[in-house]
Formats: sequence, C-alpha cells, structure tokens
Amino acid sequence: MAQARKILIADPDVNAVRPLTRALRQRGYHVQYAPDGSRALEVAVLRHPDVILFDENCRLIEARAFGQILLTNPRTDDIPVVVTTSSRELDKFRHFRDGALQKPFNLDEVLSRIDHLCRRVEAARELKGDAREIEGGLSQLPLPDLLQILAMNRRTGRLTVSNGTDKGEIHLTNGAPVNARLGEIEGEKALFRLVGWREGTFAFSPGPPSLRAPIQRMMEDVLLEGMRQSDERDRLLSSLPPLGQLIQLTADATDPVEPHPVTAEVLQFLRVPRRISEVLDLTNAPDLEALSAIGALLAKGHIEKVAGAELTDGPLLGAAEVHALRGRLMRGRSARTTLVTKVVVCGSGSRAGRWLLKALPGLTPASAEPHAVRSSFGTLGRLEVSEVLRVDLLVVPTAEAARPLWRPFVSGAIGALLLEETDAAVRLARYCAFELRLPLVIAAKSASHGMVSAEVVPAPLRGAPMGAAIVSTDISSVLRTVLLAALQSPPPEVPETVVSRFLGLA
Amino acid sequence: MTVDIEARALAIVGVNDIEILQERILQELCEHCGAQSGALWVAGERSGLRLRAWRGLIDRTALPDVVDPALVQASPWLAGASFLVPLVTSTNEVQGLVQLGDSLNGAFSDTLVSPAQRFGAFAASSLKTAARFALLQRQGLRDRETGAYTLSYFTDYATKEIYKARRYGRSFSLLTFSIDNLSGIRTRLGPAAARQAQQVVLKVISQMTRDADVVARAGEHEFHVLLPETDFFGGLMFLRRALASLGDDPDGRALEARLPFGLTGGCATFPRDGDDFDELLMRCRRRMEERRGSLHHQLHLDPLPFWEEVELLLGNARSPRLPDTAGEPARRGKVADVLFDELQLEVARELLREPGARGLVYVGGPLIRSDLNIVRGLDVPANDFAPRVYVLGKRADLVTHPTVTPVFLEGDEHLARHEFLLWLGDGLAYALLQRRGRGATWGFHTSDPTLVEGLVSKLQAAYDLQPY
Repeated sequence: MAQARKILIADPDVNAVRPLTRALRQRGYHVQYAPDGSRALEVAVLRHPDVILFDENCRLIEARAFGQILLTNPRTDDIPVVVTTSSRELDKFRHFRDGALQKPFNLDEVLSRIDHLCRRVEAARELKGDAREIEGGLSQLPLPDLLQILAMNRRTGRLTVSNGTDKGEIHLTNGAPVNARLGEIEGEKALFRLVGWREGTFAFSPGPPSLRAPIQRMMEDVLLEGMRQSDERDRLLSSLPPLGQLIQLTADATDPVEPHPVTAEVLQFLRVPRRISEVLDLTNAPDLEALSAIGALLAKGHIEKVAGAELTDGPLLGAAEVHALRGRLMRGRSARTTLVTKVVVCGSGSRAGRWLLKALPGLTPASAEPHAVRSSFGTLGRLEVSEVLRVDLLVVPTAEAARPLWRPFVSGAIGALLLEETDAAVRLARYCAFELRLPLVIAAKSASHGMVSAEVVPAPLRGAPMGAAIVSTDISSVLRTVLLAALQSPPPEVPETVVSRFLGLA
Repeated sequence: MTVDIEARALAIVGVNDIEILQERILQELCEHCGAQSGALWVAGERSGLRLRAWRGLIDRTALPDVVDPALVQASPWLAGASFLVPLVTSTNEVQGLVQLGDSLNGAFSDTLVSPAQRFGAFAASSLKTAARFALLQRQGLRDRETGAYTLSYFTDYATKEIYKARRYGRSFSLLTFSIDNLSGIRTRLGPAAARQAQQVVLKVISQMTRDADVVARAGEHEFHVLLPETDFFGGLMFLRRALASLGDDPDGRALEARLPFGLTGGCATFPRDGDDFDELLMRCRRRMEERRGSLHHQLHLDPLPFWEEVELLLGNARSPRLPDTAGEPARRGKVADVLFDELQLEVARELLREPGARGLVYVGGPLIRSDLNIVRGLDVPANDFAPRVYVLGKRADLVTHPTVTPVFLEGDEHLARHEFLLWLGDGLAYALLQRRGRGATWGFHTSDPTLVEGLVSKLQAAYDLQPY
C-alpha cells in the first residue's frame, strides 16, 4: 500500500490550524505541527514532509530564509513550501516557487492545493530515474509475458509501451490491469489493441494506483481475451481493405432493421465518409467487433469503398513552414514540444462543419458526433499538420445573441475561414479580421461546396489588416493559405485620429 | 591571441549600457574561445548570480536561473565539455560567470585559461561601472513631485525591455493607470490636494512593485508601470490588487471622503498585444476606456455582493433592457439548455490547447459530479497545467481530481437554483449566469472584462477562495 502523505504545518496559532489539521487527518494524511521556524526546520530535515505550510508570522526563522535553507539542502530542496498569510499583499511572496495562501481560506481549496502539490512531487520523484524499474524491448519480452510477471509480483504502477510514434500505457494496481490508454482510447479496447503489439519498447514505473479503473477483469482473463481478439483481428484484416481506406454508406442502401448495437454504431459514424482506422478509433466496441461489423456491411453492400481515396495526401505544410509557424506561435508562450493552435470557422456547424469533416483530409473529429455540427459551437476536429504542430478547427456561433462568445473563443486563433455567405457569417468574419486582426481566407466555389459563390472579397471584408483572400481550388489549399498568412506579422495598429490626420480628414 | 583578447577587452570597457555590455561580453568571449553557445550570469541587487544573457546553441531550459557565487572558482576552469569563466574584479568581487560550450575545435584548450581570466577581470570591472551608471541614471531621472521615473526614462527602458523580451522569447506587461476626477479635485480642493492624490496613487502602486518593475509618471493624471517577465494574467492581477488597495488606503479614503476620486487601469502584454511601445500603450488606453464604459460601472455594481449582482444581471423577462456599452457585449434572455455543458467542454479544450497559460475558471451548479464536462475534459496530469479550475456545488461523486479543485457547498440555496461559469484568461474574459426554470433556461452572458473580474472577486470573497 502507498505510504501516507506527510504534511508539516508551521503556524504560531495552533487554534487557527486545527480545522485544517482535522480535515487532513480525515483524508489519511500524517500531519506534523511546528509552532516556529526553528522547529519547522528540524521537522523538515528529519521527517521530510511532502508539503509544508509555513505561516509568515512564525518566529525565529522567517518565511524567506526558511525557504532558502530548504532549497540549499539536497535532502529538502524538493519539498514544496506554501506560505500562509493574513495579508492581502500576496505579491511579496511571488518568489516562492509554490506560492502563498491568503487567510482565511476555504478548506476544500487548501486540501485540493495540497493534493495537487503532493501529486506533483510524486510525479517528479517518479521521473527521477530510480522509478524506471523494468525496461526493455517487446521482441525479447512480449507484453503478455511481461504483464504476467507484473501480476505475479502484484505490482502497482504504470507500464508505458512505445511503437514508433504510437505510445500507450497500462495502469496496474496490485498486479491487476485497471486501465489502459492508447491515444484517445481508454479501457479494455486500448488494452486489447496493445496486447497485439509485437514490436516496440516498454518501461515500468512503480507509482500510486490509477484513480480511474474501467477494467474490472483479472489479468489472466484479460490476457486470454486480448490474445484471442488480436489473432482474430489479424485474420480478419487480411480479408478487408487496408486500414487507411475511406469507406462510406452506399447511396441506395436500405437501413438494416434493428441492427446489432455495434453495427448501428459503425453505421452512425459512417454518415460521413471515414477511414476504417478512424471508425475503429471512434467506436466503443473492441476492434474485433467493429471490424467484423465493417466486413459484414461491406459484404452486404450497405457500405462501400470510396474510389481513389487511399492515403495519398501530401503534408499541408513543408518542414520549413512548420518550423517558421511554430516559431511564431512560441513567442510569449511557455516552451512545449507540441503546439496546438486553432482556426476559426465562420459558418454554421450543420453546413460548413459537415463539409469540412467530409472534405478536409486528415481532419480527426473532436468526438464521434462533434457538438459543433449540431449546435454550431465548439471544436470540430483536429488536424495534425506535423508531429509538433496541430490545428483545431473551431466553429463559433454567428448569431447576435451569442456575440459574447466571440472574443473569448476567437482570441488566440491564428486565422479564420469563411465558408458561408450569410450576413451572420460575414459579420463574424469581419470581427475576426478587423477587431482581432486575424488573416481571413474565403473558401469559394468548389472549396466550399458552393456555399460561397463570390468571386471577389465581399465589401465588408475588404481592407482587413492581415488581408482577406479568396481560394476556390480545394479546402486543403484554403487551410494552407490561412496557415501561411499567419506567418506574417500584423501591421502596427494606428489610432484612428492619426489615420484621419494623415488622410487630411481631421 | 594576447593582443586579440586585449583588443576585445578594450572594446567593452567603454560600454555603459548594462544590457548591451552583457551581450558584448558574451559575444567577445564566445568568438575568442570558438564557442558555439554561451550563457552569462551577473550579480545584481538580489542574492546570487542571475542569468542575464545567452546565445548560440544553448538549451535555455537547462540553464539555472540563479548560480551561487560560492561555487564560482577564482580562475577559469574546464568542467566536462564546458568552459567556465568567472568575472572577478581586482578586489576579488565576483561580478558574473560565463559558461561556454560546443567548442568549434572539439574541446576547449587549456591555453584559453589565461586570456579568459584577463578578459574576465576587464568584464567584471566594466559590469560594476555599468551597474553604477545605471543607478545614477535612475536617480537622476525621477519626477520631483512624485518620485516616479520620468516618461523619457520609462520609454527608453521599455524599448530596451522589448529588445530583451524579443530576443529571449519572454513576455512583459505594460499597465496604465489614470486618476479619475483629478481636475475636479484641483478645482475644488486646490493643487495641494491634487498632488496628494497623485502621491497616494503612486504610494499604492509602489508598495506592490518588485525591484525590477518600473513606475513612471506619464502626465498630470497618468502613471505607467512596466512589469518585466509578467504575462497578461499577472498584469491583470496587479491591476486588480492596485485598484483594491487604493480603496483600503487610509489617505485615499480620506481624500475620497472629500471628493469622488478613483483610479482606472488598463493592461497590455508583449508580444500578444503589440510589438512596440506605442502599440502596447494604445492597447492599454483602449482597455482603460473599455473599463470606463463597462456595464459594471454603468449599473453601479461595485457595492453589491456576488449573489445580489447575479440576480440583478439575470433579471427576468420583464426586466428593462441592458444599457448599450461601447466595449465588450452582454446579452440576457432565454438560453439553450445545452450551452452550459458545451461551454464547459470548450473551455476545457481551450485550456488544454495552451496548458502553460494562466487562467481562472469557476463552474458552479447544484451538484459536483465526476461527469461534468469540465471535470471529464481536464482529466490530465497536473504537472504543467497552469490554470486554476474550480467547481462549486453540493458534493456528489467527485472527491479529488488532478487539475480541478472541488469546493463543496452543502445547503447553499443559491447554487441549488443557479448555474454559472466564470472564466478569466490570457486577454479574455467570459461569464455565463443562468437560472433553470420550468421549460426554459434564463441566462445572462458577457465578455466584458471588468464585469467578469468583478464577479470573480466577489465570488472569491463570498466563499473565501484564493485570489489566484
């Protein structure tokens, strides 16, 4: 069982901390108390608590010195110190890594803050190297064997498995698998898919048990079922089109009467053409069942392959363009390997959204049926431009009543797409282009499936600070134009009075 | 080589601008030693040597912000693939440390030690002189009446800050404060009272600034504040505290008792709000105007506690129309039942697009359930997740969460009938307040930053929540 977390509370007023102490003990924490800085230092060095709450009124050693002493000692430099104070001037504690809490505080909030700090410390300790207990290659030690070893030793922690760019993890509690993740997929479905991996590497890190436990079976059960499904899946795949094949409902197919729930789920996702791999990811059913359903639907003519739609699409941006765009997006942001940005879609979810989902290659829907399609508000899907850059397409409602949503959800976007010619969509596009100074691209003719017929930029959008362009070739070119336009620096904003003076209007 | 290093040393001796000097020291040493990467830590007003410049193939994230001067040796030394050059004056004061790496020649040679030591002595003396020069410059550039810096010094400083921020990929915030009704005070109470108003404002602002922050008087009733390495959210928090502190200040209260006296502020952040000083200033002023025109002021919402304000804003079908505002919009009326859930999901997605950006989100409703969209949407490791997200309501099946803070409110009647979502982020604000009724949901929503900040402050006060 995991060791109880230790909290040190240093406060000269013992009565003031009693409710917090009681609440912490009720949650299973070990609480230590120190009335002054000197005693707190002694406890910190000898007992090594997980988190310290240090009141600024502690005598003998003041808060800043206390923090500095702990930082200079390698035994204590990783202990988070949160200063508690009755003063409103929290700014004077800005140099404290773990911040300050103003009294009186809400008990739930403090308990949650302590919990978050403990989790951070535990995660940091896990990463410190000694936590990686077992590492190796799946070709030497297949996953089923490894899982059996971990089950026999009743291990608790996380097993990470990598195969090229794919990464999965299996959470174990006392040797039993309680959860697994592979991208967006979770639970047994992810575990069954991982069990089929023959190549790749693994690493096991002991740690606290997972909070979520969607898998309820014992290890033997899971492994037997997983291996069976993996073998069957491989057999089935040999008789089906490749996973990258785009499939769709056959135009003249009749709806099957009361289909099996898995079949019904597959049919529901195929209301728009999708790749087989995408359908597998979206369905809740295990891969084997979803593949069987696809096989049967293909055989019976309910669905068909989309002719000439194999994976032949090139990347949207070249490496140098991705690098330049990433560099621009990184300005003022905290350093991250993968950046996610967004482009605003000006148009309704039911028309513009559906068209994008159907026509934009590589766009992964945000969920099986994105809200954005129904309500015209929300993230439609994500496009992986490269390993380090992803672009979300966000539909913002155009209605006047929804205007307060514009600024918060359009802020931070790198550009906007106009996909419909309605007044409302043009108003939103104008807001994006003029108020937030985003580059605007109008998808016309075949690029918008005829939703925009204009051949020139509509009058309300002319003279946009970052430009407004019309692209009518295809939707990929439209998005590429937006991304490239985002590389430019916006022209300096000039006050209206200056412009009027310059134009001789003042 | 000896002549070369002395020429380089002489070239830096005449540089008085400490920022340029730091860059030059690093450049000269890198060039002389054939280093493809370099970093410089310099002693300052605070303890330790602080990282001030870096160049080349350096990984910034791997560099410590502070180096203990006790670890610095008296003469240059090789440590692994790095060459470390202490900048020590003739009186043995450690003024800085240079770390050079990625030698063009494969490794740094021992023959570099002696010239680097001589250059280090020159560089240390130059740094000390430049620091004194900067101090003198600051002392000579203060406004006589208030003691704040003059606008010319501030503009010069801000220009250098933009250069630094651009070079090192950092952000900084510019704030503008304007004293409302100063001309009224001067006319009615005399110039002495007007001067007192300026001094009170300056005192309140100065109490909150750090060593590196710069406050300047920009005009009769206007002050600028520059907060280096501060994001928009940090600037906003500064603004909130400054406005609140003025209300708490006894001198400010005494003056206000004689005549209405207030402060309005605006904030802009480099690089997201602009690339040069004029653009940032214009954005600050525009935000200040937005604050003046906010519904918060028009409806005189300041004295109302949280739930009274919620009721007033929500109103009902017979309530008068909300006044039109020049700034961000507000709307009241029937709202779609799904909006509250969809908003939670979208806010969660927004936060995850940029998890390092700070922000505050409060979601209130009858029950704290684990299937709330905001809870499910943020089920991610907390390590690098900067925003603070709270859910308020009656306890259901959620106890702890890696990124969301549940605040359990048993028996709170307001929450049994209402739902709300308040969101303050990097340059954005949004609030949705709604009351579920039979058949229809009645709501109010706005992106007016002043109104949302007011609601957030009052909610924090009502439930003893932390300001950030």
